[in-house]
Amino acid sequence: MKKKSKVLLIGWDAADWKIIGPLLAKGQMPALKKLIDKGVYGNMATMNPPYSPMLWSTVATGKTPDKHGVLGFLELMPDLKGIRPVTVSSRKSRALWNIFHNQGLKSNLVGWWPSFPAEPINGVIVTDKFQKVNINPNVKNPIVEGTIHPNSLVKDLYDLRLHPSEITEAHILPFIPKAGKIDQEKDQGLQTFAKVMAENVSLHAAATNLMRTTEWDFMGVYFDFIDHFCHAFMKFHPPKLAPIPQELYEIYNECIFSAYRFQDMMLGRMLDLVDDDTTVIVMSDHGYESGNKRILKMPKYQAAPSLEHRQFGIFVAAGPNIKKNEKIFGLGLVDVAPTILHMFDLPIGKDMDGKIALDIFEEVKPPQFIDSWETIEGDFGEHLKHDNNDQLNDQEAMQQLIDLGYIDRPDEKIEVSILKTKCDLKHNLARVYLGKKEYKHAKPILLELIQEKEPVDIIPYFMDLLSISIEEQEFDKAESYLNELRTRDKKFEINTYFAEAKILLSKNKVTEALELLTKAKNRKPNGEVWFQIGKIYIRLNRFENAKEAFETALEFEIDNARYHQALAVALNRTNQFEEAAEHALTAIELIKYFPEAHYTLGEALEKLGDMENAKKAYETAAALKPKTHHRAEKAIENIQEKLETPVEFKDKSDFKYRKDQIVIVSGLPRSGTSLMMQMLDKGGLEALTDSNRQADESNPRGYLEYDPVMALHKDNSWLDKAQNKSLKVVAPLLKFLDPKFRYKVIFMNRDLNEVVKSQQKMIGRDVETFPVKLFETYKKHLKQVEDWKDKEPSVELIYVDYKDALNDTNTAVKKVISFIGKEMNEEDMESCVDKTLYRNKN
Amino acid sequence: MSKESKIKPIEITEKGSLGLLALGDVGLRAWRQVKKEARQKREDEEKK
Repeated sequence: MKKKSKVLLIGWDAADWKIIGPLLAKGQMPALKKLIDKGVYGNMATMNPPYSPMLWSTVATGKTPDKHGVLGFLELMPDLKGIRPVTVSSRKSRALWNIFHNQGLKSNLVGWWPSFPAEPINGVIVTDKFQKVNINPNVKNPIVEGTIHPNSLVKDLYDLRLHPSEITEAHILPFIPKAGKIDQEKDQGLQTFAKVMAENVSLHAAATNLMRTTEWDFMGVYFDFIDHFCHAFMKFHPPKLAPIPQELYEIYNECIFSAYRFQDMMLGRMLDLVDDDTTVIVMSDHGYESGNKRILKMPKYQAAPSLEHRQFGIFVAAGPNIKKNEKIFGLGLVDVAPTILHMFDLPIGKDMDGKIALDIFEEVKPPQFIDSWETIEGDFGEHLKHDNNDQLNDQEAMQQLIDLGYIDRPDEKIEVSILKTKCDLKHNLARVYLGKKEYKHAKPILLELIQEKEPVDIIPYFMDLLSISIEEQEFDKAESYLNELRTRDKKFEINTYFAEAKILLSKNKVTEALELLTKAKNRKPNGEVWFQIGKIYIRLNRFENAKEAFETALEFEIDNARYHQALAVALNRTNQFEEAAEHALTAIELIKYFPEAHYTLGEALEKLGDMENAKKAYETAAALKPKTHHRAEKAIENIQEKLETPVEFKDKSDFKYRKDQIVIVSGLPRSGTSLMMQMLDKGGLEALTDSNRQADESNPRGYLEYDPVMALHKDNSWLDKAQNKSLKVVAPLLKFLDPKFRYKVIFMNRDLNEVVKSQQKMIGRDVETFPVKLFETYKKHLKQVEDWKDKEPSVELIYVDYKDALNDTNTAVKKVISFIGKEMNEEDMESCVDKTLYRNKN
Repeated sequence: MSKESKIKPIEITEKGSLGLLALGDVGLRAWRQVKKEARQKREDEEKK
């Protein structure tokens, strides 16, 4: 009987390969290592703006925030008279667990952000309110209605909340060995530690309890442990940042590594609690900056801490039908829900923005689709629309968001808080559209927002309008927005030099733009400024300078897909096609849906002579671009022509003798290979032959062939016998030559029409009926030989035209002797030619 | 219901440990039990 599929999805907010990598190498994350070894792993691309409640709702729905409706950390109360931390009420799309409920599957959900108030699904929901307790141990912390579904489980899970006051030195010292040196009057580090630790242990305790005591098909568990540790302690992580006092650095510098190690310990326990038939996914919604882009002084605007979120999180999956120890590419948050639905053989809504990550599966099942899950009638375990939970005004959760810096303390005047929240949510929606490049949807929202008055800060809206104008190449408008920003920002603290440079470029003031960016680079170098400088060099056709600029940009940010793509462009212009292809591929590995990178890869492959793959790359570029990709379309036309025209044959040889070389005579059948074998034989180079094939009417002088060649693809262990001899090998078998020997290949060329007709005659077919398919196959073989010769370092190859061998024998013989690099008898070789054999000529 | 793994016996002290917390509900409850018993013992001794 087929085992029932189960999926455990574990969310590690902000987990980043940059920290995980060194820990895995030192064996300090054994549970994750175990999963990677038996599963797939790769980057998870985040979305803009990278705010966790929006991102985890995307994970749960497969939709972007404009569709699912969760647009920030806060939401307006239904009566519009207050604000509160975002709840499940903001979500307009059905999540995985709603769909599973409808399909009769059981789900457990723990800590998902947002999940309060708990939806009445088939299974258990422990919401993101469960772990939040009042910091004062003397205050009672009842589990309020809506925290857990079903309510009957409240009594079973009540004692699984750990209070921060229960945290002891046994928990603290492994993270902060010098905790005793902390001045707790001034430094809140330990309080933060205890709170974050207690909350996540509470979630883990609830999750492990449900794993042990309930039946489930899908289980989702969310931890903010790593994210909250990063917000509190990343500034102390090595390498030490100059402004951080040495004493504090020494106290807290192990915190981040320790957080990952503890998260892994919790994972280890969870893995102990699942069966082999469970697919386990560990993923994060974004990464976290741990290098020189860490921000010590956070700008004062909403959600500024997310500026430290990096564009790539992690994805690891292991299970019965998941590939083993394989890296996967191009995953995005929107792809998670469709992929999990597919694991349960459920159809994907065509209105979902993601795709099934088919690459992760060992056996790929055909995907099924429906128009939408949203329009299906029936019970989806959702709240009734009029449900309104008066416990939603959650002070603890609100306080935490303030502590983390995600939101400002709400104004005393509630109407001001409401107005600011309303504007922030609208702005976030505009930014989602910006991220999707749907400018026509973003613009009206932003134009409405710039009409707001004090105390709303409208500078960020102008910044986005400026970016859109530049993207849409409306430079006059961009200039007016820039002037508006200058007027409003008297101190001129905001960074507008990229916009200014682009406006200058639009006026063809290239030198001024370069000067501006060079000044900015000298003031504060970063990846982006080097990238923009590189783009100007490209425009100036200074490709070597561009290359250096992009390489420097990559030193700042090694996993930036745009920088790799730009470097690939520069490398193509400097004729370094292999390196260009590598960087274009890296860009695609990072972001699969990147039409320009596919186009650049196509260019590089075309130059490398790999026409078929170049064509595929161009076709992918054209398919991914929302508008017609004119350059890709033209490139496809060109390449199609090239594929249809004959291959250009180029010799590859240093024309010198190689010790123990094997001289191979090759070509398509009936292209003069036997003649060349005879010439070599007469000239003094012994042929490796078993003389099994006798001379016949088609080849009256014999074939000089060796039977084992026919099985070369199965056994090439005998090739040492051919050293210092000649050997005849037909073209399609050349690729099976063992690369451990040196080969000198004499490839006989003959007009393909003649080859085909000669063969037709030899096998008694009508020479007037042209076998098109055979012709195409041979053309392909010739192309493959050309590619094989270029990529095999042990192979040297010359082309000898059959006609030349007959009509200009002396020149052909001289070329062959020079190629072999040994003395041979020229006259005897020439004497082999019998022009009467050349009889199938048109 | 998911499989229940065999937990190796570990020494539980009143101060607890990261290992216990990582064990989840089982570890948390076992630790609280030890704390409760130790407290009870202290209280009993104080009464004597």
